[in-house]
Amino acid sequence: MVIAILLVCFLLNIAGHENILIGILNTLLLFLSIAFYLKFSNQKLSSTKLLLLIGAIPIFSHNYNVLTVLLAIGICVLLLLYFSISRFKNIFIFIVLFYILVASLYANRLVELPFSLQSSQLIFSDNWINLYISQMQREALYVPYKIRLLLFNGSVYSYVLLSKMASLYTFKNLYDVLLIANLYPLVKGLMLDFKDWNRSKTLLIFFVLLISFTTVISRRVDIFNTFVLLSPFLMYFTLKGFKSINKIVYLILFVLSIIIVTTPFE
Amino acid sequence: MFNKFLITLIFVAIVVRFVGLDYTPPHLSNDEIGAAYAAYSISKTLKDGSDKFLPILWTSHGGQGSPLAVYIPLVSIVFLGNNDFAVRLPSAILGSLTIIFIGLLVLELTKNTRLALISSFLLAFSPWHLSASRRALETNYALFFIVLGLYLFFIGMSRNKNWATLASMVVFALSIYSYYAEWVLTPLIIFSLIVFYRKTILKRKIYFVAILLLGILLLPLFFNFIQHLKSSRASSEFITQDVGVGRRLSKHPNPIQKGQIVLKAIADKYSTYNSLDYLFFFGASILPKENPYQFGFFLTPFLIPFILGLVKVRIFFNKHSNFIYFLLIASPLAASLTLGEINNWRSLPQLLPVAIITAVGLLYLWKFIKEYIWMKVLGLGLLLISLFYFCLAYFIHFPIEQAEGYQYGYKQVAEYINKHYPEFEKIIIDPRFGNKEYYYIGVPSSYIPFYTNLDPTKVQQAKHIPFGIAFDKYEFREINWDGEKVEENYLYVVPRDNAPDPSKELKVVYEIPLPSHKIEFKLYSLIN
Repeated sequence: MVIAILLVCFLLNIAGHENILIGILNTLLLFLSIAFYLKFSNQKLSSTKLLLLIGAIPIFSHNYNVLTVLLAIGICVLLLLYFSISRFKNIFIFIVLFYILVASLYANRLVELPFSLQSSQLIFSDNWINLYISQMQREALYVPYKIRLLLFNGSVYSYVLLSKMASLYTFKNLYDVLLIANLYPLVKGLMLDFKDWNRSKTLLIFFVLLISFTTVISRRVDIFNTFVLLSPFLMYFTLKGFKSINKIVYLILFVLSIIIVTTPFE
Repeated sequence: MFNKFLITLIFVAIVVRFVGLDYTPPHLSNDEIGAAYAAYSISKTLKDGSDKFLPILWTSHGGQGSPLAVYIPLVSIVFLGNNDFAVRLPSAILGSLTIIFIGLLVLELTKNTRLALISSFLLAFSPWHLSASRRALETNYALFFIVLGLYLFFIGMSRNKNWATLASMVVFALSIYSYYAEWVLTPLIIFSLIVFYRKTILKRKIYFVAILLLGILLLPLFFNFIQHLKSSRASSEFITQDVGVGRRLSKHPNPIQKGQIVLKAIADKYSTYNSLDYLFFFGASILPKENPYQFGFFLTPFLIPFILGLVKVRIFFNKHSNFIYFLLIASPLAASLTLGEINNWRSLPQLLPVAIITAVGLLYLWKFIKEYIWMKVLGLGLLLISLFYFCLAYFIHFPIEQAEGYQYGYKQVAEYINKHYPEFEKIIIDPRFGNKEYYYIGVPSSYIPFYTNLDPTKVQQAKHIPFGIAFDKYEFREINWDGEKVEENYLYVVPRDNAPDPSKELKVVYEIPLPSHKIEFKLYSLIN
């Protein structure tokens, strides 16, 4: 089944952009994401033939950015290593965290190759936000000036960051990268894990939040790149939920997904 | 003790809905004045501003308004006169009743008093519900009728009360008469009730009678809609009329592709309405879009309880949980079918399922963190900070920053005219306002007669003049000073930048400042 899924993915890549290298890398990323699921969940894949359609997920076929795919592959490899080793786990976790942090910075162009920090791209230099902070300070004549500075200041960036993080996980962003059909097993997987929570799953969510946070500190968030980095985690929940889906509902949603995906642009 | 504390907080939030209705929001908005003037006109002459006798769908600013948008404030305007408080009072009352009835609805479904109180509390402290209850918003009336209708429906079902079942359909019909979004949403809700509770419904004849009653009640609206099909909101507001969507549709003549484009546009919009940042960070749109001190439908700290509640609904709602999920899915549907940017009026019904689900999460979380005092302190601290900033933003900064968007100044112009009406032979009002680089067009022809209590028959007999209309002493048209023949005893009301040439010898007799102290309108005349 895994080989068939990978084949579907590779063929879609070739049909989509005829670039064999990208096709191989995307397929490798899908393979490692599945491997991560198998390792982390200690469960087998769902036996349904519908699983073949996982190979059609846009995140593994629509991406042309070699660097981002390589970075995502790196995340998969490190996660697989982390969950395989039994010694020095505490040290290794920091390596994983550091790698994820750096990968997110590169994926969102906060760092350009080889190592050039683009500080002007940080959200903290957003003119509109700074302008409104000053405006709120000016308007707040109901309190003395010093208190105005305490009330309205750069701390609002934490609120902006949270807002931007929340905006990452819209249906649109998710179905653009996963297809509407796969949101169904994704939600199922999340709910299954919610009911059967443990420490390592907290770690998983922490990784997801870290990537999200690093993404939103950039002024020009690249949503597709971010979700490529998140692909092992998204695949974990999707594959986990796949076992408990209603196949007819999934098929209907898949048809709907095809209709949406093939919508003509301008 | 905890329940009493919640009840006190809910009571405070209800009282806040009635305080300073004439200051926050700073002025009656375009839509509020449209409905208010029609209500005033009908109350005096039984005809709206366009001379239609007791209209079902009334005409305002070129569009058509829903019936109850006029007939609800009409009552308070008759009793309290033409003022902001009278126009907004019904919305504050119905908003407060919604808070009570959402609690009763949850209590009826779960028999859990605390969950019911938390649901009411969440709605009471929802930035968007508070804001909507302080404006004459027909969507707020509709939300009240939906919540009341559901409550009566479940009373009827669980206690075998036929009167409640019949009353629920009457109330559902009122929700459809209140706002256009409910033309889609209410039938969907009724259909879902039939599907989810078919085992009970199909056994009792009263439900067939109730549906028939609903059909009969909706007939006048249906026929009126058919008569005005071309000018109806259903055809003018549908997503295919959107500029971006329309452009794409025109490029792809294939009907299958057209269908795909429309479906994708609806899906994308639906996604925005359901996004967490819309619901918990910016959906209330109290301040300008770029201002970071924004608020969502609910205060931000309730985001985590909402996510938790999504998973835990079944624990508290048991057999009703599918219906709650359905409400969550269906409530932004009508809004997603319409054109333009996302519109929090149209998606106001989202408050109902999101409040209930968040209440579930909050109650669950509260029990979970029972032993962790630091978590409680942290949660309450974040909530208080969030509430504090909301109060600052809504009651202080919102009137300052958004006054111009509410066409602030026309009420003040009317107040000046009320005092000096006999002194002028003619009053010419330029409907433009804002900066001269980009003027907005206001509707002083509704504001002025409303606030000056002008006889509505004079407005009904309004004459069309070049680039405007005229009635009584008033002319509403753009004032171009070069071609303007200035007369004595004429009053000219113009936007701040439209100053007359000094050779005209006009003097400023009055200035209308915005709450930010910037001048909005200048009133000129040859007399002192």
